[in-house]
Parts: sequence; C-alpha cells; structure tokens
Amino acid sequence: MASKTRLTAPSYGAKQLARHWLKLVVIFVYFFLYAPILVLFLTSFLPGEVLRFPIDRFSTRWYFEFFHDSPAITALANSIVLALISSILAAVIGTLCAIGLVRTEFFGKRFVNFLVLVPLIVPPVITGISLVILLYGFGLQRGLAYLVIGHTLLGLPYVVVVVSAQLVNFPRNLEDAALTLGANEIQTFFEVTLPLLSRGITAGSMFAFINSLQEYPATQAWAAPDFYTLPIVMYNKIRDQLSPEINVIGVFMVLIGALLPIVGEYVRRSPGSALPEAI
Amino acid sequence: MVTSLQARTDTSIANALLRAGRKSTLFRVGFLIGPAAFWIAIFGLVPLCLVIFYSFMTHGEGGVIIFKPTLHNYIRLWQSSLYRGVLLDSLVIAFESTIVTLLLGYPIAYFLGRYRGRWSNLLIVLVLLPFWTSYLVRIFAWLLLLMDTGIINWVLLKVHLLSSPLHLLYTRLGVFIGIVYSALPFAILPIYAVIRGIDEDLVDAAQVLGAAPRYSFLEVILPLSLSGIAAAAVLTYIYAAGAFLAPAILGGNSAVMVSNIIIEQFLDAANWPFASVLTVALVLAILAILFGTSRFVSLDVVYGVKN
Repeated sequence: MASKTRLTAPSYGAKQLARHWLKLVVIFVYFFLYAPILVLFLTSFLPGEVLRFPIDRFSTRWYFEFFHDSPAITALANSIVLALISSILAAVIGTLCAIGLVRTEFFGKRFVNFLVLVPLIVPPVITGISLVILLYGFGLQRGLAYLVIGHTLLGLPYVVVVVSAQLVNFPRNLEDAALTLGANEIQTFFEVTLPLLSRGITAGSMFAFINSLQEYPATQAWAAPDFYTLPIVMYNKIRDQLSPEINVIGVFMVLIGALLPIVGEYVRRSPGSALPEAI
Repeated sequence: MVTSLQARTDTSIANALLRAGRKSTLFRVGFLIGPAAFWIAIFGLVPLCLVIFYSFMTHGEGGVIIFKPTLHNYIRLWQSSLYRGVLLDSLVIAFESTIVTLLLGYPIAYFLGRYRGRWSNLLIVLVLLPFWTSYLVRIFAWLLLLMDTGIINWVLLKVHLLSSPLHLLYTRLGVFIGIVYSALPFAILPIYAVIRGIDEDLVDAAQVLGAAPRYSFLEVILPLSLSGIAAAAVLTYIYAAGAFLAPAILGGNSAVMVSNIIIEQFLDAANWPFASVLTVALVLAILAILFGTSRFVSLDVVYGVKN
C-alpha cells in the first residue's frame, strides 16, 4: 500500500491538475442531473395559476388542488392497480423463466436469451402501436386488458435479468441438503429456493412496478377514456394547460421512484447476489 | 488434511450425482421457460411481424385497412421530404446526443469506478436515482428550465446578460438537452461497471514502468473500458433514436422526431400502414446499429445479463 503511494508520487502535480478538472466535470454532471428535479420541487409550491419565476411566495395550494382533482385521483388509483397486477404477473413468469435459463439446457436457449431482451431493445412507442395492431385484430377494445398485457411485457426483462443474476451465485448445496433430507422437489422449491431468491424477485418486480407506474410512450396507445393512468393525465395537462398541479403530480412520481434504488442497492449489497451493475 | 480433502471430494461427488438426477426434461423446460417465452413472442415479437405486414397494406378512407399489397407507403416515405427529413434528422439527433452523452458520462463513470472513498456508494445511488425517476417528469422539469419565463431566462435576465428572453423551448437544442439529460444515467452505468472491474495492478504496473498518469489512462484504462463505452453508446443511441417525450414536450412543432410522427400517424391520422412503414424504418436503423456494434460488444454486455 505504502509503496504504491510512493511510486505515483513523482507525477503529483499533473495528477492533481487532472483531479481538479475531473472534480469540476463530476460536480457539473451531478448538478445537471439534480437541478431540474430541484426546480420541479420548488415550483410545485407556486401560489398562482402560472408557472413562472421568480417564486415570491410559497403555498401548498396545488397539493390540495391535486387531492380534489377527481380524474387525477382516479388515474393514480388506476396506475397503482395496473402496476400491482402487471408486476406480480411479471414476477411469477419472469422468475420461472430465469430459473429455466440458468438451470436447464435446451435447444433454442440463445434465442430465448435474446427474446427476453426484446421489450428492452424495442422503443416503447413501437411496442405500443404493434401490440394495438395485434389485440385490435382479436377484437379487444383498448383499456385495462391492453395495459396489463403490455406492462407485463415491459416488466418481464427486469425480473428475468435481476433474478437470473442472483441465481448464478445461488448456493445449490442448500437445495441438495433439503433433497437429501427427504424433501420433495416442490417442497424444496417453496421452502428453500424461493425464500433465497426473494430479494432478487422483490427487486426485479419493483423495477417492473415502477416502470408500469411511470410509463407513457407505449401507454398512450393502450389507455382508453374509461381506463387511463397518472402519466396520461400529467401529459395531457402539459399539453393543454400548464399549471403547478403538474409539478405536484411530478413530485409524487419522483418520491415513488426514489424508493426504488434504495431497495436495489440493498439487494445488490446483500451476500450471494450478483445484481448486474448495468441495471 | 487428507481426511478433509477426502470429505470434500465425497460431497462434490454426491452433489454431482444429485445434479445429474435433476434432468432437464422437455416438460420442465416448457413449464419454466414457456410462459415468459410465450408472452414475449406473442405480445412482443409477433406484433412486430404484423407491423411489417401492415406496412405493405393499403390505407383506406377513415382508417380502414384494405388488405391489398402495395409499396405505396414506402414510396410515400421516400418521396416526402417532410417525413424523410424527420427520419434522417432523428438519426442525426440520436448520433449527436450519443456523442455528447458519452463525453459527459465518461468522466463521471471514470470517477465512480476509480474512487473508493466514504461517499462512493452514495454517489452511485445518486446516479441511479434519476434513472428510476419517470422520464415524463424529468423532461417536464426541463420545460420549467427552458421556457421564456423559466429559470434559465430569469437568471440570465437578472444578471443582465440578456435584455429579452432567449427562446430555448420548442427548439432542436431543447430536444437535444432533454435526450442527453435522460440518457445520461444509463450511459454512465455500463462504463462504470467496466472501469470498476479493471485490475488496479495494471494501472500501477504502467506507472511503475514510467508511464505518466495521462499515458496510463490513454494506454491502459481507456482501451480496457472500450466495451463499456460501446455498450453505453448502443443504449444511448437506441433510446435517442426512439425518443418520444423529449421532442413532444420540449420540441413542439419545430423539432419533431420519428416516434412522434409514428404516434401521430397511428393515433390521430389512423393511418396504420404509414405508421408501420415509419416503424419499420426506425427498427431497421436500430438493428443496423446493433449489428454494427455486435463485433465489439455482445447484447448480453449491453443489457447486463451475466448468465
């Protein structure tokens, strides 16, 4: 350790200069990432109808307006129901798929590996319209069915990627112990495998949940006047009439989303998990 | 010593036997893989094939689709300077924003990958946080910054750098900023992951052998992080080429991108065949990039799949 420090010491001046430059860029990037969100928070407390600077007085008026805006509240409830259904569906079939991909060998495995990534690669607008073309052909009307199918589709890759990462370092000898001690395969799965995977499944389905709650580009093609989500309401308000109420909706969505990386980080640091860092 | 080795060999043989007992029967594979493969194939892949099919169909009055094969929609895209222009401009914006995103993202990924201090976990969480904040909210936040009565103009007018507000909203620059901003977190992460994995000893070796910091960066770290850069570039380009919200909210009518006209043609004009042609064009542009970069980086690396 000490020898390393000594060896790099001669180039101290140049390194220091590079460090300062690097520090400036890093500070700039963090500022760039967070300044808009800070402005969003601040302007949610504007008292007037118009979004403008400077803010001369802070008020919680628009938070009350939001809670009395019944279409927005309906949309919030719809969003939560939809996110729950689609993330649970994605969790169940995604976990099965991850186990299959990591633990079994079969013809076409490479294709399935690719297939799982399709919803991540295809731009959501395209996923949106192409699913409408399919389901409309079956005579289905836009609304809840489209949204459940679509949001499960968009959430699946997150569950598969996160759970299979956890499966790679899975302590299989614990399953062997259960089997040796007389548990059958189904008991072993529910009493050993599933509890050990629970963190990965939770994290993966949380990603799916948050994605469902916030998705707009594909959702606009799937939603209907009798079933729409919070992002739909927010986008329409941005398009029709700007007001600080949009900020209030935004603040709620930021707060919900902010819980997620905390869970993700908790899972990533837990022993025995190998959550890919790119997700 | 001998006995513990013996015991270990025995357990590993027992384990091997147990594992051999779990056969990958067709039933098992079908049960595990089936539901997800079915879901994605039927609701994700088949619809894409339908889009190709619809792109050759005829658009009738009132959004009716006449199942008569035609090349008309492709010819329309080729001949219309408006639509062709939007398509090409989307790819140009995607390319430009990829470059700028990488230039901004690399230093921070480098910093996060090399810095092992008290704050490193917090700093990583801070990069992840906006990643899981709705795109819609983050793009809208930029509207608050860019508009004529927004904070940027307010500050610039206050310090008398400007006498009248600068029009930043509903410009190409605004769209560009929105895309770079929303793509930045997922450009940082793959590069960060690669730099984090670079063996510290390699950098030390370079410096022991007399390389100045600049050279140990240029000759060791930069070449070793190329796969991360390629992954980040692919992710950013795909996101940017298909961007919908940034042009819709920050671009208005002056900076429309291909996703916007796909939605406009599909939902408003109810012209599914023409929306399909535009979709095919966008998918081809994305596939070209994926195949072009697949020499340098595999999809698994791009999307963080490790199995």
